[in-house]
Amino acid sequence: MAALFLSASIPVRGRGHYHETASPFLIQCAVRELVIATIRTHRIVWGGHPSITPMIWSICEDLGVAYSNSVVLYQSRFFEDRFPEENQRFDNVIFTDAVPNDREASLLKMREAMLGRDDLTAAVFIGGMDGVQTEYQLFRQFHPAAPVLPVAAPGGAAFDLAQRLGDTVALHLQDVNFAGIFHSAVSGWRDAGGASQSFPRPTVP
Amino acid sequence: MPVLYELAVLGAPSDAQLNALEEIVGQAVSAFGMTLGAEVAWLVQPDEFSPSQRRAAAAVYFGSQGAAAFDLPALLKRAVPVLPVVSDVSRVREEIPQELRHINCLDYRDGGAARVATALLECAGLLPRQRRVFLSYKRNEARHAALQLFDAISARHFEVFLDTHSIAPAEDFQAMLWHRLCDSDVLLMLDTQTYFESRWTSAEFGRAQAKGISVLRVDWPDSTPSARTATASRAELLAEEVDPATGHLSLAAVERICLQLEEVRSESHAVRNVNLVSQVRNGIESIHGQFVGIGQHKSIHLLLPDGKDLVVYPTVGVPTSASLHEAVTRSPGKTVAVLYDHVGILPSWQAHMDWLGEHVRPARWVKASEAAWQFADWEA
Repeated sequence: MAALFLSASIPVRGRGHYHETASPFLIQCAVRELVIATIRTHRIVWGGHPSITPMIWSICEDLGVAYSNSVVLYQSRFFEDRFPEENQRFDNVIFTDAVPNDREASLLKMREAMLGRDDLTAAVFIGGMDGVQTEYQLFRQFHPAAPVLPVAAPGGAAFDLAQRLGDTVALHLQDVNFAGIFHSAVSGWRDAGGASQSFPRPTVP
Repeated sequence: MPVLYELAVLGAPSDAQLNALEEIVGQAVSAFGMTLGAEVAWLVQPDEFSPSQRRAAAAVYFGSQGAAAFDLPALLKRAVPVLPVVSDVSRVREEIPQELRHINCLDYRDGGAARVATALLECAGLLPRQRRVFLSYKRNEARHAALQLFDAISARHFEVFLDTHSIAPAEDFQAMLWHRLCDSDVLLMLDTQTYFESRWTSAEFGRAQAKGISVLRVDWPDSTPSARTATASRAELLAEEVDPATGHLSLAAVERICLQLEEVRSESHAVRNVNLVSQVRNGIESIHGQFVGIGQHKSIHLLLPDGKDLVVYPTVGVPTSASLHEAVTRSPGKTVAVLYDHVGILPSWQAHMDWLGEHVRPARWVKASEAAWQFADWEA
């Protein structure tokens, strides 16, 4: 199964200007619609976020897809003392080694392992802070031709990225029809040969 | 307060029709503490109507022979509900433009301005029974504040779910709780110190997130927010706004929370609606059918690939046998379906719905996230 890199987090005050444009509710909605639109055709690979991980778990449960197979979380051992309890419930966390006393180097190591996966076919950015730019650049470096989708309306660093990439019109910057955005994107990825398999029918429980 | 809802009157209403409609709609929204023309935008025969996707919006179109031209296709494409009104149902061809003829028309003789007003308010999610809030709190920490907010929010014509008031003693507590949560636009979370230590409140918060329900977190002065609550909107309480002896909130704080609730609610309602309709549109277009527009009772009008009409009635929250019954009686002689978002619905209730669907033939259920497959299977 093709994999999708998701970069999603909620900007906080005091760490850059990102919280000024961010709407936490729209970040929640965009992540929800992304999972609904892609979870049956793509494995979602991401760095985890305490407010979003439980939500993705619940959606997978309701859609009847196995969270432990459909989502792959990366976590640096640098943050070992702060791991969320969910990590223990599912066997789907890949731990990367810490660089002693170096937060940034530890994060970079984790990002290189996560974004260097050769099964990644696209990247989606929702909300986020400084890490978005780093993750975008690393993704580009490892996968120069793969599509990248910054979702603008929820704000944060993904909004800045969407503006910088310049391929979005003004309406798109405010577009909260996330179901439509992801539906078009997935169709485009499939046409581009990124995820060539046809849309599988959901299993009836 | 900023604009929270947007309503428009299009076409060619008579002065009497316009005045009557304006008066009824104005009265209705004033009961919610809002003013027509202020928090609820009221545009009469505008040259253009392109409401924000983040606000609930609807329009009524008064048909007449040679009514003023308006860019209806753009409005319909954006999934803004448009209610066509005719002077007499036999005159649809003369009075209603082609783009609106697939949508059920209101006959003005049947109920007049009052019926048009109700239909318009319903499309914008502005009927009291549509304004649903779920109060989530720890009883030992915020009981008095919860009761106080229950009264204040109810007075603004919200339907508030408060566990101690809203569940009859014999009802299945857990099922009732889940269903009422799924039916809500906003979870009002009273974030006291040990909110997440209770299994119930924790679960309520988690389900709201998965379901796309907006969370308004009322931040108690002594509590440290959990990292889990980062997606919630925030209403902050100052230390002096909580009476330590009684646990009551100051009137100013209650007022502020109510205003913020209205803002959060309008956005939540609008954004969820845009995405629900979009899932249906994606579904019908992927099988080469066509999305026509949205009309009365928020019905979604579609054309199947073979050219047959299909009317889909979306339900917010948990659909019941009454949803099927309403769908069939509202569109006699048409192929109808009831659309719902199955995320968060209890498996036992889902089994009951599947059973019901097998036995009620004139209407079917459609799960929003599986619309494409279900339309493809449609035996019209």
